[in-house]
Amino acid sequence: MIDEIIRIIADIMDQDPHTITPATYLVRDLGAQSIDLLEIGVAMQQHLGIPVQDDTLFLRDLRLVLLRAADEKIAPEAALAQRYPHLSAARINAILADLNVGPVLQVADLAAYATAHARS
Amino acid sequence: MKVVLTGWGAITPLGETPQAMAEAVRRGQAPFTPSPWGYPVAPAPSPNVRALVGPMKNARYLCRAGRLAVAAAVQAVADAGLAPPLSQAALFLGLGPHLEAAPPQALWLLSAMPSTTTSLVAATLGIHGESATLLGACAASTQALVWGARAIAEGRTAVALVGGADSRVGERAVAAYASAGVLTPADIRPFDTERNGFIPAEGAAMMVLESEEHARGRGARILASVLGTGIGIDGRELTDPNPETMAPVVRSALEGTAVDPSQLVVLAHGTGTRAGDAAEAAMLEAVLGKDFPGAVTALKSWLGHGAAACGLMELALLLACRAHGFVPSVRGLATPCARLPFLRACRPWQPRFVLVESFGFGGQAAAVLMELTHALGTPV
Repeated sequence: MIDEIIRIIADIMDQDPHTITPATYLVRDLGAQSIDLLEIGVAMQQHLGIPVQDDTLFLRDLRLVLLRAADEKIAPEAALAQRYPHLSAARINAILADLNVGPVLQVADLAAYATAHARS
Repeated sequence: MKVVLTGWGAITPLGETPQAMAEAVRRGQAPFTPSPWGYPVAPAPSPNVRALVGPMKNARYLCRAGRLAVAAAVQAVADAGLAPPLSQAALFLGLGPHLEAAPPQALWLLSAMPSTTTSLVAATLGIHGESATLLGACAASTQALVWGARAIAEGRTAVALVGGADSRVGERAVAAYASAGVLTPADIRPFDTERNGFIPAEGAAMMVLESEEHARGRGARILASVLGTGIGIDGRELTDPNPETMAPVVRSALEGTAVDPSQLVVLAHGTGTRAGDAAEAAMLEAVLGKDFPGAVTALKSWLGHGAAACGLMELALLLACRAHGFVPSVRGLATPCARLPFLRACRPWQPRFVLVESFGFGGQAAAVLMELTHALGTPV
């Protein structure tokens, strides 16, 4: 699955696939813009035959979810786990530690989403 | 403000370099080939855009004509001795719709829109100046040349990249032309009494225009200067070319210029269709006069019909061949349909003046008169 995702991203971003790893950040490292994410979503739907919900796939409302959780006094880990069931507990902890550095979306997150939806 | 030409680049069915283009004509080698769609076509080489400009994620939205445009633009800028970014430069491109654009891309609409090509040529070369995408059918690239020359002449910019690109060799384009009844199943023969249509082609041609002051200021090589321009529209019919409305556009390009007519070569639009050539020949007889001592050629006989790109592709071919000491003939002309001094064979000649004229569906018309500087290049 991860190889297929990397191939899709490399193709759309016009990058050498060997420079992309599961830990590569889409926005921070590859400079992906909304138009690029849109194409990646459509391509995943097409090539992997899975339904794609862009807001979930690209963790688009992540910061909003965290703000609401703080308002409602819910633990951020629990809020993220509920909103993004495809992310592991370890990954959610890593995201929370990484929030201040910049956009957190990694290639591995897309693979986790695709794997979860391929199963279901 | 005098406007000069300092560089050009072209990807055409005859090749990607002036040398290749001139040699192909010298050898008498027309680039026409059968297509799966039932008519001959004139395909161009496929440039490796990534090798030319490096990774460009938005290249995914470049249609075939757009790729040809980017490659020719990079060539033209290098030929002019300039290097990107050309921040202050203007950009005028003559383009057409991309008929084969389709999903699966989310934003395939971008690929269908001609202006996306303009945007990505600008992004490639770092152009941020005045710009327009001209959509005047088969007059579009010549319209771009007119607009670029005028922007400089009127002092709005010192440098303008102008040109055109198109690809009309795919299934939908060929089917569209076929249903309009304008394609020949055999060979394109402009101005011949036996002509029966054109061969669709693809390609791109880009030219760097500068104010003379700007060009001299940086010690640029000057290839030509623009003496006159004309642009207009028939305003009557969509598909019935009319010599009376074509003539003022060509006269406007010639007006007030001191041109020795014996040193003038006319690059006729010459599509090889019955109606188009008849109207253009009648117009030329009226504008040039019965005893015109220069010469008329029609380079679609060598390139096929480059559609939106045709005018500048033909000018590029003329520049390439002239640099090698000759002017190409109207290939295949046996029985001319008009009393004009058509070149029946390639002529060893370096004419001082060239008139480019282009006419498109809908009565679009544009013409440019240029003075070519002294002989350049080496004979093939």
